[in-house]
Amino acid sequence: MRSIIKCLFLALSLFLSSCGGEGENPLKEEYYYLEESNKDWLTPDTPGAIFIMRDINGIASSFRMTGNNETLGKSWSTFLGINTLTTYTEECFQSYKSSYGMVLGISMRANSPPQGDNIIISLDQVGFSYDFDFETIYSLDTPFGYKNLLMTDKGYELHDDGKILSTVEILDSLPGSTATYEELLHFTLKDFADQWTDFTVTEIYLDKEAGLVKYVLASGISSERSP
Amino acid sequence: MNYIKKLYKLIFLVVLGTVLTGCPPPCDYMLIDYGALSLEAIACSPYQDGQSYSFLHSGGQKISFLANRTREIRTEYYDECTELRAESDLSVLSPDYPIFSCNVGISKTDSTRYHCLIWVGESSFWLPFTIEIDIGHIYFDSLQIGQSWYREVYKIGNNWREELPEQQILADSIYYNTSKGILKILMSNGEFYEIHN
Repeated sequence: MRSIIKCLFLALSLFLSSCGGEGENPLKEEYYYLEESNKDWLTPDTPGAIFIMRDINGIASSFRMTGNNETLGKSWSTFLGINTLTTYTEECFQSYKSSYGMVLGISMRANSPPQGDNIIISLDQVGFSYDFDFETIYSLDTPFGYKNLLMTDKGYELHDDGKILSTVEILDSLPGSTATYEELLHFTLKDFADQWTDFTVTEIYLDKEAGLVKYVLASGISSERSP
Repeated sequence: MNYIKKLYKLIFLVVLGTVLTGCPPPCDYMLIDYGALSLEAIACSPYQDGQSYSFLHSGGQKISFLANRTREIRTEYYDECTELRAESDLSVLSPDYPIFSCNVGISKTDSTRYHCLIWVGESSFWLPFTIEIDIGHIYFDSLQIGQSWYREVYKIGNNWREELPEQQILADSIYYNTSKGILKILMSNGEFYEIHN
């Protein structure tokens, strides 16, 4: 009798553990896609594409696209081994490497409400995540430290890491030395200021059509997109 | 009972046989030691640890590079029985401006020969007289760079210049001599950096 119960228990365990494997056969599926207007912040480039930046002293560097991927990220939750919900989230990743070793990353991720679509931009190890719906930087990643806000059902709340001082503003236009850009995302680093070096990226300007058009270093040297 | 004993013996023999045949035969350990770099090899790089070296960009910006020079015995394993030891010498030039760094590396390739490889950012250049293949370099008995004249100058092209996209801005060629090191860097977009005394 005991061995029969053992066998039944084993069979039940196997059955339950096989049910929710890797989000298969869920009770419910949800899909989150990026809004088309937000996807415009991604560049139209293809891998191998090159653009040129020139600094205030006339020194040029090239940025080459090294990656451009779009996926539906999959996550799932289970209860007693049964897959209750599988979520598919649209994600896009773009990366560039400069001839002088700077790495630029632009990625976007759709989110479940109330959180909105978010964009993650990093240049030379200074990166931030911005929520378009809440108009908030909710995480900051730098060589000097990391800060993030707590994501809750009501929005973002302060975390132990403290307030994020850095800012993002959406600009209508930016007159450059060779062109005027319209609709830009302007990031300004204001955290960890006492630890910056001359080479720390402190400002990033991302044009909605062209991508990176300007960045500024802590030393005051700025580089602009060159035609 | 006898049957069970025989079965145990058989299992034991199978396991023992598997273990014994599974072990690789013992190898003869061999150490290949190329020894220390010669003075002639070390003299390929003039850079001194802690010294600063200045360059002038074609647009007028002065950029200083701080040299860090180290020498070490490097150990590599060809396979689990063969160990290779060779001395190498590396000068790393770090800029005070957000551009590329430069490296000059000297390594022994066997007990008598050595080679010298110079990196400017992602571009690499062989010092011609340290390798046996023809890399299409130009040799100048003397050459004026900036305001000064230099002797025994090599103009060396980037090892990968034919495989790079046209628009990419990288060091295309360098002028080098063993008494001053990198004298001039020509970029693929026409910009250049000249040694600044």
